[in-house]
Amino acid sequence: MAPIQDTGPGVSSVLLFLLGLLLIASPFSAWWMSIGAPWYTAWVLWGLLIGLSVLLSLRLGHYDT
Amino acid sequence: MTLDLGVISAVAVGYLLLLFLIAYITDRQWLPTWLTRNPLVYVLSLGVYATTWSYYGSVGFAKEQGLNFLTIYLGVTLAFVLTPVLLMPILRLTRTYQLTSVADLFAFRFNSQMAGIVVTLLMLAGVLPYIALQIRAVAESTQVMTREASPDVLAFWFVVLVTGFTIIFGARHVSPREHHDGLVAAIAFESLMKLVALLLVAGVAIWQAFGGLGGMHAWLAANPEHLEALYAPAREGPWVSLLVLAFAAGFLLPRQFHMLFAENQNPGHLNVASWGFPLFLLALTLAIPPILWAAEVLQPGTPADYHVLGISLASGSTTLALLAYLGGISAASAMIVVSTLAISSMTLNHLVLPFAGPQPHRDLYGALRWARRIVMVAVIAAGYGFYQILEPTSGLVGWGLISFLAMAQLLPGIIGLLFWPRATSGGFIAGLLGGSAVWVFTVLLPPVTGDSTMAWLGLASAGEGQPAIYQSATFWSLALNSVLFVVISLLSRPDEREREAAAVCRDLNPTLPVGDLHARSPQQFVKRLASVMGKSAAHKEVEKAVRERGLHWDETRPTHLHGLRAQVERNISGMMGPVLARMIVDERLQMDTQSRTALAQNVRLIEDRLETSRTRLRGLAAELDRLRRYHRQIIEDLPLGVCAVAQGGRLVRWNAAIAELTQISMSDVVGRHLDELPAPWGPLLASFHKSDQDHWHRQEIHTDDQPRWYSLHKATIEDPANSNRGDDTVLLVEDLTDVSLLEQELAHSERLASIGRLAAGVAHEIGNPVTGICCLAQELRDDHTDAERTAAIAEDVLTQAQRINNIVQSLVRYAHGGVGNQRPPEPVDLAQTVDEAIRLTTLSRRARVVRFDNQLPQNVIVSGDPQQLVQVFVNLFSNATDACADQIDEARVEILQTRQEDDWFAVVVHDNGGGISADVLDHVLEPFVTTKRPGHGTGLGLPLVYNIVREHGGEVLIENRGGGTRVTLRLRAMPAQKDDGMALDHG
Repeated sequence: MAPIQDTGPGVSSVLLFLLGLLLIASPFSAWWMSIGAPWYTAWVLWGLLIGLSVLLSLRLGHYDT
Repeated sequence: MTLDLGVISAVAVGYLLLLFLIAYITDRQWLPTWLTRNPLVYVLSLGVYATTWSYYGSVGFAKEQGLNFLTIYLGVTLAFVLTPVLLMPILRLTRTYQLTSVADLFAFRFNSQMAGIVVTLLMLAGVLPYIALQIRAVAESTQVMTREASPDVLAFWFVVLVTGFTIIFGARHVSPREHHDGLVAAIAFESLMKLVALLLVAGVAIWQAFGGLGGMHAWLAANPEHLEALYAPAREGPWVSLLVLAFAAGFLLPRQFHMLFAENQNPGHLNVASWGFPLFLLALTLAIPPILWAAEVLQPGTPADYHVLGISLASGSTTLALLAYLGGISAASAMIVVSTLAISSMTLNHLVLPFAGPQPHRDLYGALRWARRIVMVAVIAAGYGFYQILEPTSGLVGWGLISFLAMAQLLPGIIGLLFWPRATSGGFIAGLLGGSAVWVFTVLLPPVTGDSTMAWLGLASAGEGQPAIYQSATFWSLALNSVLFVVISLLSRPDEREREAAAVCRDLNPTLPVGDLHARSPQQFVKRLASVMGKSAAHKEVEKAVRERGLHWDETRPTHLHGLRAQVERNISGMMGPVLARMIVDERLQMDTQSRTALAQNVRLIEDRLETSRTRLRGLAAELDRLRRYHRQIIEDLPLGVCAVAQGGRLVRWNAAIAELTQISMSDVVGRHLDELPAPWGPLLASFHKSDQDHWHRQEIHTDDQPRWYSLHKATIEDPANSNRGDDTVLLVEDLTDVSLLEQELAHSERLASIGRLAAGVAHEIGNPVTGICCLAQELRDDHTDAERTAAIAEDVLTQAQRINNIVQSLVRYAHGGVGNQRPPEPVDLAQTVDEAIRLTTLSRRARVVRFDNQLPQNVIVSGDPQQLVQVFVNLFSNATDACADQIDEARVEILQTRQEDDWFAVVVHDNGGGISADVLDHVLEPFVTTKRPGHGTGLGLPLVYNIVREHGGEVLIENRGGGTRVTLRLRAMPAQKDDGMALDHG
């Protein structure tokens, strides 16, 4: 079986960007805005994105910068 | 509650003076480095993004547009999520090529001064109203605090102080690329001030209006229309468009670009900022909805844009009110300072210097500093002028979004810069002009002139409502921009320099430098640059580049000079912009296009580039890189000194073994000529490289007063591409010192073994004269001899004693010859040497039956070590004796000289023994190969003959001829004796 090639932090960041779009710029965002979600929902989702960015940056630290 | 204007003014001025102090003590390095160079300071300095629009205007924006206000920060977060693929490559470019602004970046990529000019004009158009907005916010906030009608005086003095701060701490260095530690520290402090003030105001607001968070949630539950007012505009409004604008603004706004890239001291700090800065914005914005809702309850009587101040005043706390006010001052001053710094750099590099140019007869650094200061004053003055004419109709958000849309016009360009090498300057400029035209006519002009040019096209303009029009303006401007960018790029062709810059921006390997530089040393760099920059500036720039590259002033290696040239260009780029820098360097530090640079000379450059981009190689490229490393490691790990010499005689490879042999490190030699190396290696390798021989055996070199022996070999490296250029050469250096010492030990052992074998003969040979002496002594004792007879007997005794002495001396000389000492060569008479060898050999009883016929003429002189040559013949005669042992006829060994050609004698030792069998003949010179019975031979005799003759520069040929073995020794004649030898030969 071929070894899994390390794709580097670039691919991870693009995936995280796509997740960000899903959370805040998609029908999903329109949905949570329309169901009367708590006022801090946007900040919770934002915090989630930041948390994942922390993990990504820890990984980025292992690569050339 | 209101505050006195005098108090407000004093506090504001005092606060600005505090910023001066922070910047000053940071620049003086009175604060510890761990604090000033902390990534937290970098992250907080990025908070310059939050201007008065964010600080004051967000509440008004949230009131009008609900959650849409959050897009301005969420868009930035999305940009920072893409740090590895978006921000880090830009940082790498700006750091490597000393690019100080976004205009520099595009001018560098498209190799176009026009691109820099267009970007600078767009930035100026977008930022000047934004600066005016900050001044207006300061004036209006003062009005809110004091309820006085005319805060213009305070606004004026605010502008003066901020201008002073910008000039003092923003124009300290000639190059804006130099880090402004003091300024960064002050901006970070201001961000902290904004955050703390806003969170405090929000806390007080929640406590005063609702009695706590629980109360606020209960209030929201009881008044669901407020929650709906938060969400409804976001569901229906320009949510995505605003995200796009904020995405672009997050790193393309001049102040953001400056703080993110120009002031970055460590790429790792950007890594921290990728999450730290969004976290800062999250904390900042978390305060906005509570302040808005608290204002609904408390009704502070201020416009929504200034609820932050209204609530703090309503709290009755002067301290909180002043803190909130200073938060606003922080937001405004930070924005003006950093934006001015960034804009002045662009203006100078792309609007002033290309037309004014450096004046060689003037102090370049002083002129640049003053020009930068003047531009700074002009920029802030223009912002103040805008403030004076700006209609205070639109909210704080309006002009901010106008600025954001201007920055967004750079998005297609930045995508092309990073990911599309086919993009051309024509496409970029066309796209920028097209998008900017839509921006001007849809959002910039309508609020100022009431223009509605775009209305007839069916496009909304800013007059029809804020900020909904940004949905269409963003789409149409970016769409037109992108289409023009792509179409014109595809229709035009990039020139060579543009392609090279595109490759650099995509982190591909740019073209390698071809040809040598006309300037052959750093001093010549100075001389050539002085005609453009002035002698003093040229010297300082070259000196700085020499220091940064770790070179010396006597550097002459072409590859290092190429690196120095690139470094000089980068440093000038940081000072005057990339286009002007390239022009200066291209003009003054030209390449010699006639000379060709060997591929091998660029090996180090290529390897350096591969090392820096190693982790980014994928697939086949990664496999090839692994293969390259493997092959390089083979050369590096070879226990043989390897150095490669490119055409032109410059060293391009120097492996670890040769570095250890010579005690010269690789970094000291690569790129140098062989004869530039220190003695003894430089002269030795250079003369070997020039010689027409491929091998030099056993070269003796004295290092640390100890002799060492090396063999040198060389081979031509053929060019795999079969180009017309000359071939390179690889030199191998083999350390034979250990082998030589071992061989000397073996030779000594062999001599001792020979003496052992001769022992019986020696005893016999000494026994005969001893017997004779005994007889003579007996005759003296027993017979009464007369005086004459006594004298004769004494003479006989002496003769016999001399005979014994000769035998002993021969043995001693033979035993001690060549043990660990290399004597200088001396003239050796071959005939006498052969006689000596015959004497020694015939000490053996077996040899006495052999007739040795020395037919060598007298005065055949060679250069060498007499004892070693004696050993050669002793070994040959011993072998011949053994070969003749079973001979029925008379055993005979002839020694004759066959011929002489040029400088050579050929001496033949021919026996009439049984010869050597064909299968042994091929290996007879190898050690331990013997046909004798066990215990009768070591197999080292002939190898020793071979080694000694080779050391004397001669050759050995062994063959079966005429029923016996014929050994031919070719020995080099003593130069001065050559003619004599020939005469003898013919005589």
